[in-house]
Amino acid sequence: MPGSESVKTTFATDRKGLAPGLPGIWSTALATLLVLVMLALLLWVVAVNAFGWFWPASVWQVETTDGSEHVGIEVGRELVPGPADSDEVYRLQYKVGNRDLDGRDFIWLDEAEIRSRHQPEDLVRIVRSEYGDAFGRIVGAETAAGVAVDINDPDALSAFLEIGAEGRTEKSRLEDELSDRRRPLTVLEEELDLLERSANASTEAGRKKIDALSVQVDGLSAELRPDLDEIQSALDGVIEDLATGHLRLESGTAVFDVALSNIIEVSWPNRMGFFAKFVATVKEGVLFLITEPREANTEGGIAPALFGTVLLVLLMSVAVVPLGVITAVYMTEYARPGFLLRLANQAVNNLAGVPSIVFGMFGLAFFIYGVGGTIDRTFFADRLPTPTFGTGGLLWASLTLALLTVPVVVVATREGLLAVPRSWREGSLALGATQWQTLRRIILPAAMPGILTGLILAISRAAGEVAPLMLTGAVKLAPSLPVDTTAPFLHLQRKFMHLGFHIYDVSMQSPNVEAAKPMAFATTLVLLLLVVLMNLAAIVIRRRLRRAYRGSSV
Amino acid sequence: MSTNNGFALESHDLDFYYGEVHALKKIDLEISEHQVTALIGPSGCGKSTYLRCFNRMNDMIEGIRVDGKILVEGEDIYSAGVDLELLRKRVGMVFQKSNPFPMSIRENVNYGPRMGGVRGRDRLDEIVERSLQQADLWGEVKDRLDDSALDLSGGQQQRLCIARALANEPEILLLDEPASALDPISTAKIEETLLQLKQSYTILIVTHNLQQAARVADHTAFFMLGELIEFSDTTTMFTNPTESLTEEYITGRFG
Repeated sequence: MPGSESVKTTFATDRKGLAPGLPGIWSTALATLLVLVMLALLLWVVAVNAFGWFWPASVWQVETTDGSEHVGIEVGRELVPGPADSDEVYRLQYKVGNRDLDGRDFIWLDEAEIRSRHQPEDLVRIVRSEYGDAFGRIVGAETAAGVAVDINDPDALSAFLEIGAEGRTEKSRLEDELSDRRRPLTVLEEELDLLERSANASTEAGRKKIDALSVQVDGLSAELRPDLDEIQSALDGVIEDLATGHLRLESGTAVFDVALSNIIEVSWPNRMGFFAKFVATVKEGVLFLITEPREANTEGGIAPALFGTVLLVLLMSVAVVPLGVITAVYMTEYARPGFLLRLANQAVNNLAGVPSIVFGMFGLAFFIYGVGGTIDRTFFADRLPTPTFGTGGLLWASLTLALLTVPVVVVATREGLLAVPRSWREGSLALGATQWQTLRRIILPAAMPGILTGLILAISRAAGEVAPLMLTGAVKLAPSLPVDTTAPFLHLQRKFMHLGFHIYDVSMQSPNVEAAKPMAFATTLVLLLLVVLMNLAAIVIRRRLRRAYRGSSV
Repeated sequence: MSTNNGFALESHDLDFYYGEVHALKKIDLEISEHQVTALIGPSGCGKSTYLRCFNRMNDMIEGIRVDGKILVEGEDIYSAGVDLELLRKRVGMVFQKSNPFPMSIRENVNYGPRMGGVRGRDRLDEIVERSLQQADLWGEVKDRLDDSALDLSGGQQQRLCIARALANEPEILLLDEPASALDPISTAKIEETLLQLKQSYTILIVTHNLQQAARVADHTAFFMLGELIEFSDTTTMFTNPTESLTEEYITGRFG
């Protein structure tokens, strides 16, 4: 027998081409890849658009063929629509700011009409509290006393700007002091106002009450007057100084003044190196998170919306966990299996599929008009027709969200409960523990990872919901936060701002959509990160719990 | 004072049904105090079901029916007004598969007393030490009482479960194949423990292991197809059984 003869095996195949099923495997891999790419793309688009806003862009000075000159930052480039056979012509979009001059933030310039453009180092971007950004070159500065500042001396200029910053700090301090001192009076006045507008203002008793309160208001007003006047005059002085002191800016042919009161920040983006820009980006990002919006939400930060969202989700969690867990415990541990239980199960599952706007309508009808209206008629009758709880507010919105998310908590908790080993239940009962003790000491702790999974899903869903909130109390601009220093500190009846609604408002309802667009993306990024952060927190807790129960099947 | 004539556990004309299935048929048995009694028989013969009648663990199952009488210390435990928690404290149980709770060793052992309302760290620690010593586990775990019970080995876990049952100071201990999942060394330790416990407890043990029954039990009951075939002292059962079925089972003809 020749040694070269290969060993015959009955497992050998003479099949040609691709192994069967291989294209199928590839297509599943492809689909997975597609999903991952779409996810990455989503994050990328949001992040790029958001960070593009925080990153200090270079300021261009552009001369056009018609001799005009523009100063601004380049924000876009696009093909000019024209006949198909014509040459491709591109145009550039510049944000020139200076809305107070000609009312527009953006201009389009055809590339062909641009004669030259460059980035002189002395161009500034000024973030203003009114009229958006200003771009240009500082050509003069004058203090409140009318003394000219040497703008070529960097120290003098920054000292001058420092005076402005101090003035603004002083101004807000004085304003706070004024409202603090005035608070007792304000409270009384509000009460009086409510009384006068209420239905029983015309009755004898109501009249008397109003008169008594008026006397009280007048008395307190006279008592506080000297103090308030003093603060007010100090404030007037500061305001006057801030309004008089100014920078003179030149942009193209226009020369205009920017009052110190209006200046939030002056920067020279063309002078910044990469590191300086990075620092500025981080600073802008932080400011975005902790400051309030300005100018109909097109400028400034999102602090109230961020705060409102977090608080809303926390309140929702506080409401949904007990409700969902108790429901699941009853359905799993106590209810007899049968038609009714199957029906309840189906109802809970289907509840999860109900469109969220339906929950919004329910919240409006049941919580706000029903429960809230009843509370108003019972406890706040003297304030009617001004509603207290009978209008959208944080409490009703969070309860509506709790109802919306209760199915996920119920389902996850049930799964957690069912996964608790039967031997633990038997062991506990065999030791003479009651069913309640077994539930509390053995089953619920062991089901905690399941409960937390439910909470995570609930938070994810709730943090992104906008539709029901529009009906139950989210507003474009809330006059005050739901938490403050006056008792009872947490004002559940107040309206609130919300990141999701803020995104909608900024990108769709803004008076200046183009300028606000990057802000909508930045807000989106914050919402995304917030959801991720809250999820991560819950996942970390769940993992700790799971470690405690290792060796079990939950 | 109950009149139990020296019998810790009795059943009279006991019939047990899972729905339509007649699992135990007219079982009459009297189990003496401070003795080890083994229940043997092929799988599905009803011995575990019988064991679980004495602390009413079968109550958890839907659709069961019990006819006849079951007496614990002379008291009918299926009569109205029986305090289930108290019954299960007096009749401790150890399961086939060790089932320590996901807690520390200490918390596992004092679980029963805590649920029963015993308070006070010193008092509970006393119970923990006594129970673990009785279950012959104290020496191995006394330095790590606050470690998770799930870290113990299989044999240790089962002895922990025995200690946990003993913490309630029961009068009777029911063991449902307590060593079936353990290696021979762990099994030997458990058997040793049982022989010591016999002094103070009445022990009823279900086992598949005939040698084990022969080693630890004073009396043995042989079950088959829901019927009690033979009940006698262990030596007689294994050397000179009355029934031919018993002899065939013991000699390994079936089972």
